[in-house]
Parts: sequence; C-alpha cells; structure tokens
Amino acid sequence: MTHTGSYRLLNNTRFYILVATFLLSLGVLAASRLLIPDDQLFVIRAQQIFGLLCILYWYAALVISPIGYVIGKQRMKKVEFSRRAIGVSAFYFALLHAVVALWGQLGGFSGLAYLPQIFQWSLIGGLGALIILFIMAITSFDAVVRWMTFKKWKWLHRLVYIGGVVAVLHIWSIGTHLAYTPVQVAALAALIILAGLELFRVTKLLNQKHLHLERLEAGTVFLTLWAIVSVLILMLPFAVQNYHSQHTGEAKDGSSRGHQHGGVR
Amino acid sequence: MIAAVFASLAFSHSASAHVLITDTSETKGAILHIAPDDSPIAGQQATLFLNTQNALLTKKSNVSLTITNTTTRASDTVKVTSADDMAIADYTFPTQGVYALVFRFAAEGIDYEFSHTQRISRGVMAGTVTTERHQWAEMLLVGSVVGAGALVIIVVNRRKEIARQSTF
Repeated sequence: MTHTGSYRLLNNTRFYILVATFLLSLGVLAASRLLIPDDQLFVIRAQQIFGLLCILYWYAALVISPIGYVIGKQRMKKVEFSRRAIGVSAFYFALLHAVVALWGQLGGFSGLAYLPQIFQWSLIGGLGALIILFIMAITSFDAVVRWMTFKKWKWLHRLVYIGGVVAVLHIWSIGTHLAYTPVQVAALAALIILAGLELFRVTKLLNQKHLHLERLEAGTVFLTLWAIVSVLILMLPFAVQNYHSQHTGEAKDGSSRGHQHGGVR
Repeated sequence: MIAAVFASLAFSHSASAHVLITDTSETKGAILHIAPDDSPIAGQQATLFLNTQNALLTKKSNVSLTITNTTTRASDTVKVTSADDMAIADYTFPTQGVYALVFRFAAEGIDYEFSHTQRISRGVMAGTVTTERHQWAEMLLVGSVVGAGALVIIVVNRRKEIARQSTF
C-alpha cells in the first residue's frame, strides 16, 4: 500500500485525538452556553470544564507510561504512541481555561491587580504550569525529537512532573470544587494511584540498573516509598488550604450566625 | 477555537465572574463568591462572601449590603457579618431575576462601594423569565456532533490501517 502525506495523516491516531479534542471543546462551549442562561455562570462553568478536561488529559498522558511497566509495555504500545497527542490536548484545554479565566472572569490582565494575594500566587503557579505544557506541546513533533535527540528530549519532557506539582498547587489553592470532601477524596486517590504507578516504574528501573534486589526486597522498597509518598500527598490539604474551603466552613457555621432571610420587598 | 471562545465571551454581557469586582473608584478589588455553586436558587438561602484585597476588611468593619431587584426596583438591606478580610451575608432571593448587590464600608477613612449584578436563574419564578436564544451555540453544537459522528465513521472505516501505522 502506498501512502501519500495526507493519507498517512488519516491513519494516525494522534490526528484523530487532536480532532476529537477540538470537537469536544466546541461541544463543551456550545452545550454550556445552551444549558446555562446566566452569562456569568456560563463563563465560570466553561472555565471550570476546560480546566477539568486539561487535568483529565494530563493525568491520562502521565499514567500511560507507568501502566505499561505494570501490565507490559507491548500491550500499551499503541496507547503510548497516542500519548503525545493527549499531552498536546491537555495544553489546548489549559490554554482555553486560561483564556476564559483571564478575559471572561478577570476582564483582561488589568484584573490581576485587583485580586487577593492567594489568587495572584495561585495564578502565577497556573501560568508556570501552562508554560511547561506549552514547551511540551511545541516539542512534541517527531522532527523536534530527531533534532534534539531522544535522550535530551526525554529529559526536557520530565519537566512535566514539575508542571504537574505546580498545577496541583494551583488547583488545590483556588479550585472551587476542591472545597467539597468527595472531590478532595477523589483527587487525593488519583494522586496516590499515579504516585504508586510512577514509583513502581522507578523502583523497577532502579533495581534493574543499580540495586539488583530480590523480588521480595524490591517489593518492600516500593511499598515503603509508596506509603511515604502517600502520607505526603494526604498532608496536602493541611499544607495548602483551599480558598473556597474557608467559605464552605463559614457557610456551615452560618446556621449559628443568625440569618436574615430577607426577601426583596 | 480561541477565536470562538473570545466571541462567546464577547456575546456574554457580564465580564467579571466568580467574581472579581472592583470598587467604584477602581482602586481596590474583591472576590465575590456565592454559595451554592455561584448560582443561587430563588426561594432558598444563599450565602454571599466578599473577600477584599489587602485585608481591606477587618472583623470590626461595618459593612452594609443592599440588594435590589432591577426589574421591580424593590430593595432590601441585608445583615452582614465581618470575619477577617471577608464580609459574609445570608440572603434568600425571593424569585428569579436580576439583582443589584451593593456592598458599602469604610476603611482607613475612605468609603468603599463594591457593586455587582447577579442573575438568579434557578428556583421560584415570578412571571415570565426571558432567556436569550444563542443561535451560534445551537449551530456549534450541531456542527461538533456531526463532526464527531463523521470522525467515528472514518476511524471505523480505517481501523486496520490506523492500527498498522499508529505504533512506534
């Protein structure tokens, strides 16, 4: 079978992931507008959904490789091939999230000056994560990998873990829905699972190259590291207080505050 | 897509949300958060939090909140509690509609006024509530669904070639 350039594109899963991502973003924007009559709430929800989609794609991109180490790399070969498109999609949703937040909610860059300090710090973190995702996205082409050499490219793309930590801090500090306990539990569980998968890969590689431990010993090292990292992750709510948790806390206390159920007269 | 987002933002009339508001002199900012979920339900209690910039508010601040229905012009003064840099008020919007919220307080000898317009689109209805039709969104939704359908057909049709080529 002969392949022309465009024909090859149509046989590439990365192309379909990117097109599907684009269509999803259009669908989300349109559906939000149709379902939410209030302009202001529409902007808030669009920003939140784009942020959530960014995180889901980013998580998927991160989790693919370590899953390969658990279930066998051969089984994940085709999914691993798609990973770059998933990462680019994460950047695309992060960009949409930032655009809606900046111009839809803050009224442009000038709005940043009026924000409380915790928001300013959190947005700096969000910007940092966006820049890292941008670097990942523009270096995701095969030609760039060849130009950089795979080894250097791989090191550059490890920046994604720093970006991930910064993104978690950004989300945890001002993410609205993280004020709710079930969302916190789900987020912490997702982080612990990701940490477990990454640590499994790291300990496996370390053991193969340097430690040469027996299976039981290597398993013990892995479980110990996972337990330590899990405890650190579980400390996140104490280390970084969610801005909106203060509100929900106040709201819970509200019953004792003496409400004024004033209707408009 | 970025252009589409900008266009949709331009078509939606309000600018600040979740909600950054500035005082009338545009020197100070504050975040207005409304529980539940930034979308109060008419007939049910909502809690309004005004978090000012640079600890403008203190526990001793005397904050007043006036809520006015922009259609009927009926207004209500709401009791506000101050806690650190935050003003908190509980209020039950009686019906759906558009309300003007005005927070007033003095700090360091200067009077501040923060205004915000809030649409209530859930809960008790009074009369007919008009909702704007967004044709661009209808077309965009249909277009994206049709596009997704076409994409699925192409993928199914080419699944063997895709499986062969999409690997390292």
